[in-house]
Amino acid sequence: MSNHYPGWAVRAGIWTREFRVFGRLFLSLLVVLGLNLIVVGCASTDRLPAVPLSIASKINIDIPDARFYPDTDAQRLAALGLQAYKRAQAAHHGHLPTNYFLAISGGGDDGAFGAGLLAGWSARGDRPVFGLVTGVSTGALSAPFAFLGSEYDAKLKQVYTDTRADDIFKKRTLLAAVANDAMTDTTPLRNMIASFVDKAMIDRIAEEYGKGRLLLIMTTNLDQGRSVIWNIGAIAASGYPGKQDLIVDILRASAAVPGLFPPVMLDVSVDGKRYQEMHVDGGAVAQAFLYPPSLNLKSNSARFGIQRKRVAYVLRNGRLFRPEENVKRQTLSIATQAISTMTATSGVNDTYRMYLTTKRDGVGFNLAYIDNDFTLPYKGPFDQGYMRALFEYGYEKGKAGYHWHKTPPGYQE
Amino acid sequence: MNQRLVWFLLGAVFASLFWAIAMSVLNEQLMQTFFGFGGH
Repeated sequence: MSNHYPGWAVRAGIWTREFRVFGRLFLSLLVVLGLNLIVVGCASTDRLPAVPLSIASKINIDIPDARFYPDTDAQRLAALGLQAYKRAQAAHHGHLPTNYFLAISGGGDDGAFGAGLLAGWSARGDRPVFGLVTGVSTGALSAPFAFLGSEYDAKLKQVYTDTRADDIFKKRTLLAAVANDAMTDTTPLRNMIASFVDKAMIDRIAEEYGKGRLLLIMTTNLDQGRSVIWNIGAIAASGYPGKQDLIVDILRASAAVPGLFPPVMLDVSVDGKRYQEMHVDGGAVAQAFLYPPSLNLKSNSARFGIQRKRVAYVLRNGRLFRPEENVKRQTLSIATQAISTMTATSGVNDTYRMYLTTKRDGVGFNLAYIDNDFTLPYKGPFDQGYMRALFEYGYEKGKAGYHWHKTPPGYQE
Repeated sequence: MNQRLVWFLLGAVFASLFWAIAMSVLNEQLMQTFFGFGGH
């Protein structure tokens, strides 16, 4: 038998039965690893090529004014604003009331805060009709409800208090990290969005768009590393046959936390050649936005002779700072806390951008966020008890009359 | 059944179990990492 085994091992007297057993187990391990690698290789997700940035402006998605790139489309956005102003004038027969803006930020399950505050504000009775509503990530999911006003408060409450993790995602297989585009499958979330973005809601959004009101949602075009602002009202008001699916996909994309939730792949074509755009969470660029700083409301208003008071409200669905943590000295723990810190800080930075933009343009600024008086510890993603408590916290604040912060945190005039 | 085959199958079972546990732990930690984008 010894001629079957390495001569050096036999001579050294280490070719024992235990060694042979170990050898076979090791061989099995290699075979299983090999099979895993074959599975991973076969399971990679294909896609069409990304649109080169040099021809991105040629993309036509069949719906006029459906979307805008904040970094290059300031003039188109100004034209959209002017168009909305004229529609509002027609709807109000010339006399225009104060234009209220609302920005709803990202924050995952902390979206329950903003939802509660809006519902409480309705209950108080002095919640304005917002002329502009913007949403990012979880804010994108609540923005359509906020846009349509208190008639949708019950549904908004339902989304943030009756939802559990199972209603949002399903965990994928153990090889998801290397063989798929995200750790989870968000078919449940898509079904939930599709259940509330029904024909009735789309018709109502289109109706309000016709009155000069705007509902804007931000996603991140990950191929190009820049944000995209989607004009949901224009899509709703269009005759595009797939508009419901497109709106659902935009909302899902805006909430597609990178790595955790799958991106939304949008098919586009340029000069007859087919491409795909990969869209993920708008929060990859900004946690909240009102309008891009490249759009100067003040100078545009002067140019077109528009005199209208404007007041902005920003709902930050999160705390200003990440709660302290005794961070484990381990790679992924450090990465986790670093990402969490960056996200929380990005949220604060966004309030500065919005504040300075509104200050430049003479727009009133108001900010709400989860303060230190909400003390319930976080219990994990989409914990129903946590979300219900946070909704109630926001609701009570809204009902009592929120003491809006007039400057970003730490800002001294 | 061939004794070598039995050992091999036993090894395959243990190896699969090892990979499943390792990947499960890694997946859970990656999930937590990506949830960090929510700001928690």
